[in-house]
Amino acid sequence: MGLDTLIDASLAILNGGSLAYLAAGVLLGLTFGVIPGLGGTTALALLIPVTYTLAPLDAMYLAGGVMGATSFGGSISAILLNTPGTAPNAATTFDGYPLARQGKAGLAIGASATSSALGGLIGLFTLLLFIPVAREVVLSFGSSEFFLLTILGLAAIAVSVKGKLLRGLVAACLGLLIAFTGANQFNGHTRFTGGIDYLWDGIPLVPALTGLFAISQMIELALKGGSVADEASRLEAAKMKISGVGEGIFAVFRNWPVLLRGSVIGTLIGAIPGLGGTVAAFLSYSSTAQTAKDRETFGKGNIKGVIAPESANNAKDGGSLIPTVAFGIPGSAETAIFLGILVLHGIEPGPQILLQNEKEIYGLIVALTASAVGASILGLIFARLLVLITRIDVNIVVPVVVTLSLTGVYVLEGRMADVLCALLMGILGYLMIRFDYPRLTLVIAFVLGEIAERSFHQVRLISDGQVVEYMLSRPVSVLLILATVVTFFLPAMRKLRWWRQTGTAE
Amino acid sequence: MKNILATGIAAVALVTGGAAMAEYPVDNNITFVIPYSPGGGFDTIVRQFAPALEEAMGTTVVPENISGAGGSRGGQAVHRADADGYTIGIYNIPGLTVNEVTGRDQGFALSEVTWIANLAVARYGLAVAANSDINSVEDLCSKGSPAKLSDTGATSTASVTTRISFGIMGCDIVDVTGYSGSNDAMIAVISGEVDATIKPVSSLKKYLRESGSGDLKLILTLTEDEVVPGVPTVADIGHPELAKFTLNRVIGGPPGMPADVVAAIENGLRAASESDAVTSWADGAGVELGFMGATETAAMMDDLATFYQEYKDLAAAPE
Amino acid sequence: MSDRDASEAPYSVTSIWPAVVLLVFAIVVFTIARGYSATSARFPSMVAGAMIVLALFDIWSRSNLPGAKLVGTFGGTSFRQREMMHNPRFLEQLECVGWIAGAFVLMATVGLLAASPIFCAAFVRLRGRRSVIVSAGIGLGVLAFQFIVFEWALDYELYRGLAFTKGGVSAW
Repeated sequence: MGLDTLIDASLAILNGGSLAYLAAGVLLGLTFGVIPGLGGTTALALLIPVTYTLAPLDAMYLAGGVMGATSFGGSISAILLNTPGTAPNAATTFDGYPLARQGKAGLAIGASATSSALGGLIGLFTLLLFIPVAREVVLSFGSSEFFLLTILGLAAIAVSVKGKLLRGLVAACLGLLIAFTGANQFNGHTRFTGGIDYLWDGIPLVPALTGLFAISQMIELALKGGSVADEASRLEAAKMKISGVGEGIFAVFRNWPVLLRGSVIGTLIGAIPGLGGTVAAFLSYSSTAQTAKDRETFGKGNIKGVIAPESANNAKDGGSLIPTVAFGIPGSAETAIFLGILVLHGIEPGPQILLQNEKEIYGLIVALTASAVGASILGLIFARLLVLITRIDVNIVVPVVVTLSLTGVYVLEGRMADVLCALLMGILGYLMIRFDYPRLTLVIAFVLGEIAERSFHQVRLISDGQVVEYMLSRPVSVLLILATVVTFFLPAMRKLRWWRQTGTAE
Repeated sequence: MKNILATGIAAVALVTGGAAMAEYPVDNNITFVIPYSPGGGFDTIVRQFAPALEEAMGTTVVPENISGAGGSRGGQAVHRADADGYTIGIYNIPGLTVNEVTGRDQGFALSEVTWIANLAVARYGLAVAANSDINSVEDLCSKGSPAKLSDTGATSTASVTTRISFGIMGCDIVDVTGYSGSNDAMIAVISGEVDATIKPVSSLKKYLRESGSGDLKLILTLTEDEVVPGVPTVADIGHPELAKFTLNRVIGGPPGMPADVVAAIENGLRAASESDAVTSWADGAGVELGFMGATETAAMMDDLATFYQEYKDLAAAPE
Repeated sequence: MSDRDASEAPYSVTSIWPAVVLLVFAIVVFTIARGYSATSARFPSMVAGAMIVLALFDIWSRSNLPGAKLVGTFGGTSFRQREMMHNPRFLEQLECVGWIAGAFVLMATVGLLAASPIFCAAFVRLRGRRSVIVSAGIGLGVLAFQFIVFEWALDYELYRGLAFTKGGVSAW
């Protein structure tokens, strides 16, 4: 059943008009992806009024084009400017930016484009495999699993911050406290609002992340002066005639296990509503970095550090459709808006969405995949041009990125208060860069904090207070507990052995 | 170009309309404030009504999302606007009523809003998993331990409804709040995490055997008349007052709007709600249209305020 | 903290003060959290409590007290892989933050569409010391992007500024 519809949908897209919508979506997605502060959610939210007049299928192509292209677009700014274009690209900065500073931006972009495209394809096939068991997957993930998954995420950040564990944990605490601001989900009480109405809904994600990543990085860049790429590496790169784009493509194929792992992690985490791409990309990065033989070189420009998060990033879009095909519920902020577009067209998403709206769903899946591939091809074509950004005077890059990202923060909800929030978070982010407290641990903790708290609260009520017994009685929970233990203790054991052998710190 | 068109239509309306509406709604767009982000239920219904309303009123209707602070920011924006009929908004009722009763400052008083119409109404039902042994409220309340129900936020209308109605029935329950959406709350019932949930019948329908996937079983509707064949109502179990719990999409404007302007918008909305475009959309999307005019809506608002005031303590969020 | 690290990282970064500020913050949050109902207080006070302990360890590792080196080894407190290796003066940092804050003030008063080109042109001209033509060109480029993408293609009205809208700050 599925395959026929899939082929039909693929053929339908070749029809001139549909292709135009898809292409428009890809271009918009790439642009919004590249610019920090603007992301897929914003693009889709702005498109809602536009899609109203379109046929449902064309609306799907437009939406799919946007969704598929943003994450690759976001990796470009992550690599070139150390500023993730969208939040899920945050992990790409770890190794992508060092590569850019060494004059190897072409290599990084080539690898990012290829792993995005392949990750998208693998995500799609995983989704197709999962469709028959999608219901079971969703039903096996209850409050207990949500809670344990947030703990796994927190454990993964704790161990991934190299040599800065203590400050990383402090930053994580700060991130959790930021997440607890506002009215909580379970009993509606407000906390830490100081009587400010704006804080009632908590600190909003997009403005906070834009401030922490983009604004703070621009302050740092402006203070550094010059251009992104080091003077020495610029000369060297000029001799090498830039690029390395081709080398980047091959690097992905050479490291296929990394690609595969990233894609699977992306699909699975993407399937869990609320966790989102940031966590998926991050878990993919940290698991690769922790298990690689050459783990010392991670964070200094290891190409695997680009492949892992970027493949997860595009695979997560396929995964985020698992809850959608099972119950008509969104797996991500983007799919939530996509379902909103369906409702606008008089289609009610529900558990039978795949039976009743097969055409729209498969249309979206095909558009997503075509978009991921198309965006990457565009990226490869323009990679040489894009790399030039690293040689532009930062005094030109900084004001442009600042204004565009603050505009992006505004358009998502049309609130100037969000822009102020981004500014304040930008200053906090800069202080963290300055005093060397890792920002990403704060961000991951911020993303996970609310889910951790409310799912714990739910487990407590559901289990009549017998939290541990309840968790141990659920197989998926037990698996997650084991994964957390391994994640947390593997590096600690390694360190202890190292310390015993040499008697010194690493 | 749209404006020229609008002026043209308005000129026609001028001839047919009475003298009192000569000035309205000719020279301006109508801003329709949605207090939530794009893509949700409130956003959708406004965007569905907007074209039909444009046609009926002969002027451009611009939906504007002003989200934040649980819907009060949009309400405040409408409250501040001039009462000239060029700014109206949609309100989450009884969500805002409950907030007001439980003492949350929303930045404006509901009693001051000029009520114009009620567009849609959703009725609640109580559902359990299809394979559950529970077949009635009695079963649910006498299962030994307090029954567990699932909900989104503790301040959500469904959660307030759950607490008050089981309180009235004298049945001890645990309301497990914090699910990220009403669908997630229903899935928690399907997966067996909780025993039951109270949700709008239109949302539950997707999961019932007769009208959907067959994962859930409806055991009670919070209505006086039977809405789903064979399912008992609250009147059947001796608590007809529970039928007061509904979820409404209400339209209002700034305090002190002139009566003729209110009437013009009311008529426009009535015509829109009867238009083919809106009715066929509502059919497909499972939205229960229930149009009420200005007077009726204002009376309902007063009624609800008194009703929730009575159950203030149960309405307040738990510790 | 080993001497080698200290010689690389500036004193303001390796001193105990950043950790002290975080400790004070955590104590304040902890105190506020204790005032909430049991359920609401559980997570915030737990996290703030953990933060107090961690911040104390952070202070310890930065001090000359006995055991500081051991805390550093197991806690991971190295400053060798800092994100920001350059060391601008305090006034330079203040000036830079001032520029960004200035961009916000400009956006708030005259609106996004007007503020964006003005800020970009001014930044490129005054901070980047580029020619007037380059500065104006970049300003116009940003204006064109904002206008074409938002106002024209997506039909979205960008904020017009306090000077041109009703409602003032309460409409934010």
